[in-house]
Amino acid sequence: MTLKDIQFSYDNKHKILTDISLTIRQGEIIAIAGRNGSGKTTLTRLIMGLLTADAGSIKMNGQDVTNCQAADMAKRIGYVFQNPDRQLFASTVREEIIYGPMQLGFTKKEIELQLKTVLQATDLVDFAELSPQTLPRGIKQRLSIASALAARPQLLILDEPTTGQDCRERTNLLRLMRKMNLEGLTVLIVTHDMDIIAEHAKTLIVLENGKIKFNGRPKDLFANEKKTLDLGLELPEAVRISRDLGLDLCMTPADIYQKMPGRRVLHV
Amino acid sequence: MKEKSIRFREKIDGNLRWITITTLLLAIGVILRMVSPNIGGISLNWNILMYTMAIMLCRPTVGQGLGIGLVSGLVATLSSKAALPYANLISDPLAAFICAYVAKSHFFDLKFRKVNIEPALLVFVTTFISGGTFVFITKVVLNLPLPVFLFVMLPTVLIVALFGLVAGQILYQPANKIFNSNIDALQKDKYSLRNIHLFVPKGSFSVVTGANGAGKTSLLLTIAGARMDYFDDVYDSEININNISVLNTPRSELNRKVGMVMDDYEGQLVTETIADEIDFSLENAGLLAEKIMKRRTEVLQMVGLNGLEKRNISSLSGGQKQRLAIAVMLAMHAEILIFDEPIAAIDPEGAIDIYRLLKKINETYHTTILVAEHDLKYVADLADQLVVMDAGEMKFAGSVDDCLQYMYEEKIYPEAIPLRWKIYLEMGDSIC
Repeated sequence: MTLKDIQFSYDNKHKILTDISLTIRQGEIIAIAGRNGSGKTTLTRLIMGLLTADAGSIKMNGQDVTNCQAADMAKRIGYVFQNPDRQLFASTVREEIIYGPMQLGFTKKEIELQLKTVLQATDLVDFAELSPQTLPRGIKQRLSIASALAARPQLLILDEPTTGQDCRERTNLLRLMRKMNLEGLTVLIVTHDMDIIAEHAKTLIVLENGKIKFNGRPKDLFANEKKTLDLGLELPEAVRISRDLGLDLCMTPADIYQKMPGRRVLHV
Repeated sequence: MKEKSIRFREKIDGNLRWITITTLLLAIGVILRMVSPNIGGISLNWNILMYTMAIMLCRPTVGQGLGIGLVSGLVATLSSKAALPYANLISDPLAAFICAYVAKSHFFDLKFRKVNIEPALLVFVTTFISGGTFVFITKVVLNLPLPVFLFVMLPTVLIVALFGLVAGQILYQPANKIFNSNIDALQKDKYSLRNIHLFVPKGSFSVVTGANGAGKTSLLLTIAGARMDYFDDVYDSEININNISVLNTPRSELNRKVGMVMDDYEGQLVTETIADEIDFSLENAGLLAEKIMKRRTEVLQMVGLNGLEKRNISSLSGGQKQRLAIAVMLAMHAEILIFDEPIAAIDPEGAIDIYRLLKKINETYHTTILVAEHDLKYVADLADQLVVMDAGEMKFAGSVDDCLQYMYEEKIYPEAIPLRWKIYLEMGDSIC
């Protein structure tokens, strides 16, 4: 997917997004970060087709989708909201998952196959007949992802997926995201959590006042502490620790363990 | 603040459950009593059997037991063919009252060859008390000869009680299965809190951690005095907070001393502007205007919202709303401040600021601060004490170092150990 010179404003006066150009490569995990109000959510809504750009173009697999509506984009892109309660409405997990494929005109056989596949992939088989409203938040979030995956999207957008999740649920969710990505799914994640970006994202886009201030490998930004802080971001924990310990820049805990003398097997 | 093994169970099916079961069983009892055959003029007393079963199934309070007995007595009076039916109005309430007391104390919770014989014993005793009282009143009121009472009436009561013993033992298990099948599982597994042994010194900064559903919020609500609305009184100890016995203290007093900011702090903000929000609570507390203004200025200065008095609350950011909720608690001079996931909806920059503010309040006013937090990244450096909970149970309380080491070694919510500590614990001496 390629966005070129995108401009957007809600009222034609105050520009929310200015000159946004970026490329989302197939099979990568791309992260969008930035302060509150920097335009992150607006950008994901434009990509999703929930909003239409004032100027510029969006192409997906070479095809112009700038003016495509959300209903068309839903065939290609799955969107998982920050708060899973906002998107769960069916009376059982099974119905929740098959709703998307049914709306998109999948055949009965395809629907059954997708249901089985995503229930297994997201480890929700045991919850199939339960009401989504009765589930803990971590499982609701997994269900939101399952529902998005059921429509076989090429791109999955996760908007602050770890908000309100405890550390265990967060670990499980990131493991699921990684697994999906390894199976070929492109993931766009909007997050404040720099540890997630450092560990998982291949590309990082930082927005400030609706403009792209950084577009590149997370490592290249985090190596520059001043720039990172100026953009309203914090350094990932692993980067800070490696700096404090005088090691070369480490992006993940595993990097630190490898570079530490006398290392043992990590089992936490 | 000291607690010892509290056990709270969420209320099951509300207060209507015991009424529903009792009414149903009493109705069945009346019908069966009318249609059941008798042997030599003696038949099983279905009324007594049914209310005893209802009491065993629901374990009501003795007051509720008395109520059950009164209803049963009234029904028996209206349907009885005995010489003095009104005696039921005394015999049934008395027997049901004693039955409820004995059932609550589990006095007859005994086993005979691995079979629980409480139903048999309780039905037998209750029937004997009720029947015995009934025939005694009849003898006295109708002035019957003593030999008739001793050798005819009492043995008859004994035989009826023996019928009850057999029927009670046979019927209790199926009835328990029908009415209590889901309750047993809930009682066994779903205690909100258990094994709480916690001491939080005055003026300290403590953090309770654990995965979602570990019982952190239940513990905070307990300490804030909200347990009456949320929990059954299934506990065997008490909570002391700054020398106040929480479970034995009226909520109004706890509300004055404990301020709680919920994770959904927006729900706590009820007025239009920042100034109104602070003033609202102070006005309700009966403070004079001059004092209200002085306190408002002081607390807004403390939380960094000074100069924004006229700002509309709906225009504030998440972090500012959180600060306002804290300011309200400060204005009320709460001795203890409790926070449930205070940074759940705030970005990292705001999160660090909120925790710095809490530490500043703790150090400036010596306010005891207790925070429930599932992510220790920002708070581990600030805490004097760390408590870890798992499945409603308090697993460890101690210094941050000791608790993190426990979590690491025992694999209790190890995902929450901040990376810095994780590396330290993992690498051991080699890091020094």
